[in-house]
Amino acid sequence: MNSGKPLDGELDGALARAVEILKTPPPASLPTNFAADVAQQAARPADTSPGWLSEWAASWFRVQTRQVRPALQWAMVAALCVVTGVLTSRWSGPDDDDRMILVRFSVAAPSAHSVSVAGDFNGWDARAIRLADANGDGHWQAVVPVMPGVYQYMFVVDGQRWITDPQAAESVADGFGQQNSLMRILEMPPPNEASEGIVDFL
Amino acid sequence: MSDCAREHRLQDTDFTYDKQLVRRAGDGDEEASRELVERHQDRVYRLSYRLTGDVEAARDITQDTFLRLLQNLRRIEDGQALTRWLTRTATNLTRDRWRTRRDTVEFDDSFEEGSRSSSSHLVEDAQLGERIQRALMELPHRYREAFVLRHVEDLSHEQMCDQLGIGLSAVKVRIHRACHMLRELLPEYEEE
Repeated sequence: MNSGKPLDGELDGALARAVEILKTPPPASLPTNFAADVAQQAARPADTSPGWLSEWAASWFRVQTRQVRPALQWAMVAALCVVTGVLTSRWSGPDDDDRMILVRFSVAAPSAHSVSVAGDFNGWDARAIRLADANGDGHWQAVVPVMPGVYQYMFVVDGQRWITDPQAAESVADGFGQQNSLMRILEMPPPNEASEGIVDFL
Repeated sequence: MSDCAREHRLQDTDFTYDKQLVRRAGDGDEEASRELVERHQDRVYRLSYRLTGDVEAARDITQDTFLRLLQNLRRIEDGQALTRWLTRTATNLTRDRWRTRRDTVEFDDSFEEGSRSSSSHLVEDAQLGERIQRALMELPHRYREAFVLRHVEDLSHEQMCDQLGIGLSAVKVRIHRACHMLRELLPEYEEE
């Protein structure tokens, strides 16, 4: 132990006492039968039904499918495998402009007052990318520049309800009883075409 | 046998037993699955709670960590790999939660009431725990994560590099800043 303030993140007496407290169990313990329940749940065959959330979402949201432009179909790969890792992405600088793919998010939500999309590609900021209902017919859409990669995303309705895209080709459990939609955007050579087209994503 | 050697021997034994349980659970032995969860649930739950400060979130993360474990047993090579895998998965699930939800931590204010009506050690300990957990929750996620992994979970710097996917200097910087912030947040506690 160093004299004075400890260096390199090591603990002095006071923080050492705090750590002792942090090493104690949380204030509420796990249920008594936690382990048995988890083991039993894991042993059950996987439920392949859509689930209540998807059914509920489907009853409220009619998603309009749009075809990817033929010249750009190779840019989008869907439904290969479930990815549990999350790519943390950021908005790119000017040097990355050529690699940007324009992605159109579209969802029909007639009763919604606002719809936004949040995902790995924008740090899950639910306010940053708002979809527009230009025709007032309940079809919301936004075109978003995204770097190639694999991303999870969800729609946010009226700033509160996080909705899994029920028509997404892939989804992945978020670990808390909901599904994040998954999209894969591949690199698009040649770069000149990359900024000209739009990949539609539902 | 020295205490250190005895400790290593004990850990080796535990890892060996974990390996046996992993193999049995992988063969569909539900009792082995249950025992595997039971042996590690407290550590995973504590890690999740210290990172989220939320009992319900910590329970969800712990449950999902073990469900994923039991569905991916073939990836676990040995007992030590099991411990690393659990830590990594619980940490990643916590990160996912941070991405999708704000920290919404509600502490039990009854402890404040208890401080006026009781002087029992239990209440004092609980108050102290709340105070320190509150301070921990004030840290930015990456510093909180580094502090907990290093000082609560006792991971080495090298293990943290592996777990967090960052370099040694970055690990040290995060731990150092976390400690500095905690000292700022707990000034009266430091004076004790």
